[in-house]
Order: sequence, then C-alpha cells, then structure tokens
Amino acid sequence: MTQRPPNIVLLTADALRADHLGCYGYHRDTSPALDRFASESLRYTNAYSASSHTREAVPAILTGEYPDVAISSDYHLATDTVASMLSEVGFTTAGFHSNPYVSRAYGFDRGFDTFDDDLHLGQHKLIALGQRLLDKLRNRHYARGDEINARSLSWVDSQASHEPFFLWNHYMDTHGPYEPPGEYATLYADRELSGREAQSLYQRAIDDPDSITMDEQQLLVDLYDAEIRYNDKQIGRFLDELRERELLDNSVVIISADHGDAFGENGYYEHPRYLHDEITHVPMIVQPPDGQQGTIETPVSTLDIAGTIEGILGNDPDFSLANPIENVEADDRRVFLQARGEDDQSHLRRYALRTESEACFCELDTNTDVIKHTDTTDPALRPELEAHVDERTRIKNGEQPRTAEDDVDANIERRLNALGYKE
Amino acid sequence: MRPNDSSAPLCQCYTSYMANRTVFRDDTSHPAMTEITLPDELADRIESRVERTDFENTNDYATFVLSEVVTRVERDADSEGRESAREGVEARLESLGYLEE
Repeated sequence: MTQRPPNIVLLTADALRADHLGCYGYHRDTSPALDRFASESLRYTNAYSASSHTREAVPAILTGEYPDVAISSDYHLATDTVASMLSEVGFTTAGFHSNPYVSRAYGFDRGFDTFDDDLHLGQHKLIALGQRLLDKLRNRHYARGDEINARSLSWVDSQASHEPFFLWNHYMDTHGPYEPPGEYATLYADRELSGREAQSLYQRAIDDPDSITMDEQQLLVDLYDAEIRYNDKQIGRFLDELRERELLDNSVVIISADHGDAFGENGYYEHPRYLHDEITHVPMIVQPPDGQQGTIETPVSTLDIAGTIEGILGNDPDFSLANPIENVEADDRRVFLQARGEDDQSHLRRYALRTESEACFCELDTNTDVIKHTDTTDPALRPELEAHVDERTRIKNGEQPRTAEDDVDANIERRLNALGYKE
Repeated sequence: MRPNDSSAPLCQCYTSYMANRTVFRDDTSHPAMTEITLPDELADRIESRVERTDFENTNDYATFVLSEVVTRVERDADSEGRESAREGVEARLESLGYLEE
C-alpha cells in the first residue's frame, strides 16, 4: 500500500531579511516564534533568494527555475509551479497572499485549486472601485498576516482529511510602507507615524535615498523590526493552529522569504535589482515530519524549495532541504542569483555566486555581451561565475524569438484568461 | 452613444416583466430551445419589424436581435472589467511604493 505523502506547507514572508531575526543573530528579540520553530527544525544559515525582488524571486520559489526561464519578459509566469505538479499527483492546492505582482493578473494562479490574491478582479466595477477607495481610506496596502491566517485556516478546515494538501501563505507585513499595527507601532520607535507619514517616508527613501537622515534611517529600521515582530506572531499563531489540528506532525513546513530589504547599506532602500546580502540573504527553516533538527551552513537557494518538494514525493532531486544528510558534495556547493535591470538599466543582468564563505558578483550588458566583474571576496570564483552566465545566456537564447506584437497579444490573452473573461 | 445603451430597456423586459405571449416555441430543428415570454406590446413590435426584414419568422428575428445585443453587452462588460482590474492592480502597486502616484 502506498503511504500517504505529508502535507506541504510553504510560508514565505515578503522582504524579510535573515539578519533581522533572532535565530540569525539579530540583537533585537524580533522573532521569538520563528526562533522556537527553528530550534525544532533544520535552519540554513547561508540561504539566498534566487533574486532580489518579488517579480523574479517568487517565480523561482514556486517553479524551482531561475527567473530567466520561470517568467516571461513581461513578468508573467512562464513555467509550471510546484502547485501544478502536486495537483497532478493528487494534492489539493491553495495559495493565499496579497502581492499584485504574483497575482492572477500575471498568471500565478496556475496549478492552484484555490488562489486568493486579495485583488478584486472579476467583480463588478463599482464593487472593485469601492473596495479600492476603502483600502485607501484605511491606508490598507495589503492583507495583514491575521487575514492571511484566517483565510488559509478556513480553507484548511474545509479540506477532506484523506487528501494531502499543499498550502502556500505569503505574508506582506514586512513589506513597506512600514506601519506596524496597534501596540507594535511603538515597539521600537519613539513615536507612532500616521499612515501618510509612513508612506511618504518609505517613498522618499526609495526615490531619494540621499535625503534620508540618520534618524530617519533608524526610524525605518525600528518600524521594519516591529513589522517583523508582528509577522512573527502571526506565523507563530498559524503554526499553533496547525498543531492544534494535529496537522503539523504529518506536514513538511518550509519557512523562507522572497528577498530581504535594504536600509541604505549600499546607498539604496527597499529591494531594487541588486544582489547584495541585505536583499538576498533570507531565512530558510525546514521542518520535515521525521523530526530532523540542526543548523546547516551549506549554501542553499530558494530554488531548492521546489526540488525539496519533489524529493518529498519520492523523486530524486539534486538537493533536498529536508534531507541534508543525503546531499552529496554539500560542502563545496555553489548557489547562483540573478536580477534583471530595469528602466535605464534594462540592458543589464546582474549575477552572483555564493559559496559557504565567499561571494562573487558581475553584470552582463546585453547590448554588448560584455561581462563586468563588480565585486568579489575571491577572484578565483570569477571563471565559475562567467561560465554560469554563459550557460544562462545560452538557455535564455534558446527560446523562440518573440516580436513586440506577439508579446502584446499574448499579454492580453493571458490576462483575459487569468481574470476569467474567456472560456 | 455607447453601443449597449439602447439594450438596457430590452434586457429589463426579460427580467422585469411577466409576459403573456410566447416568442420561442419548441422546434425540433433547433435542439435545446427555451421558451421566453414577453409583454404583448413588445411582441407586437417585434412581429411588425419582422415583415421589413429577411427573416422568415419572429423566432429567428428575435433570436438574432437578442444575440446581437447580448454580444455587445458582454463585450462592454469585459472591457470595463479589464480596465477595472488593471486599475486595481496599479492602485495596489502604487501603495506598495512600486509606482508613482
């Protein structure tokens, strides 16, 4: 008799950098719930996102493919996700989040039986407009963690117990503008900001980072840390709810982030298209049903999440986050990162290589095909990174050339289908 | 004038009024037909129009008119919905700092 596979619970936080969590050495007690869960799980100290921003990072998480093939040139999902794969083998699948960049409008509901992106698509125009006005009045930028929990737990409770499920919750609390709710507003900050002040400060940090004073920089960090603490409480509550339902013992739980967030360390805020530590070093906490625990320094990528899920289904992945002992050559592992430039840098592709202790960065100019090495802790890694860039370029160029008209047509078709306007 | 403006009263006829005249009847040459009732006054108007068309009977003419109107309404509803959806996504992106307001 075939054994029923465990449920798979993937919890990701938007813009949650690892080094601001207690279990990753932060000086503030921002993450008691995650710290406790990490102590009972496998915690990867050198985990990196495949990219630095949601539009490339989340597709990599959901597909296990580098962003250059996971999404199209206009950031629509271009590859099947783990949800599709799990659906095919009998899992019920659901996703709950509120980031428009990975919403139905960009095709990210593919493979999910239930997909709630908090957008009012397909509703009557007046209802959608009213909801938007209400969000604006309330200064609501996304669904808070408690809403994501309520929606996803309601879905969990509606499921037949004999079918395994895949559940993806993506929490937005740690994404700017930083406006920690209730008592969290002054957890670390001296005073509470109005919604308008918080939004204005965040936008100015993005648009004009040089104008941010030291006090304002500290205020942004204080508010961000309080958001982490709020989000930590919500993730902790969600795990408690699963435990109360006796679901945790028969589930693989993976907790990570799509990327981090910057606070002026390299002259910018938020999470633009660079590959520095602040915006790519993410938490990775994995709790397999067999109770393995430990701290692992092997470099890993958010790309490994999909492979780990394949391994849980009995396939033989190159690398499994749930089975570190069986991973061969783990000590010498390399992970690679990439980010597309945008606006006046749209011709640039940034790449990085990470080993357990070293890093190497470069930029590819797609107009000239010239690779420029921008930074490294070990120049000996440069040839490896160049070889990786060449390989990715070959794979990318292997696609059928597309015209601008093709893109427009395909875009409209995809969006119509995503919104349910076509049969 | 928007193409679906003239369609509104006609649509309401089918939802608001209970009629006493049968326009569509079961016809073995058209499988899966449904009867719809109309007010007498409207049915009379339709019948009088049929004479000025190439349609052979009231059923065929009414089917054509309804089909045309519904197609236009659907097209407009889709267009409005698409625009509304786009605005919704953009509003969220603005509030997250990705787009300038």
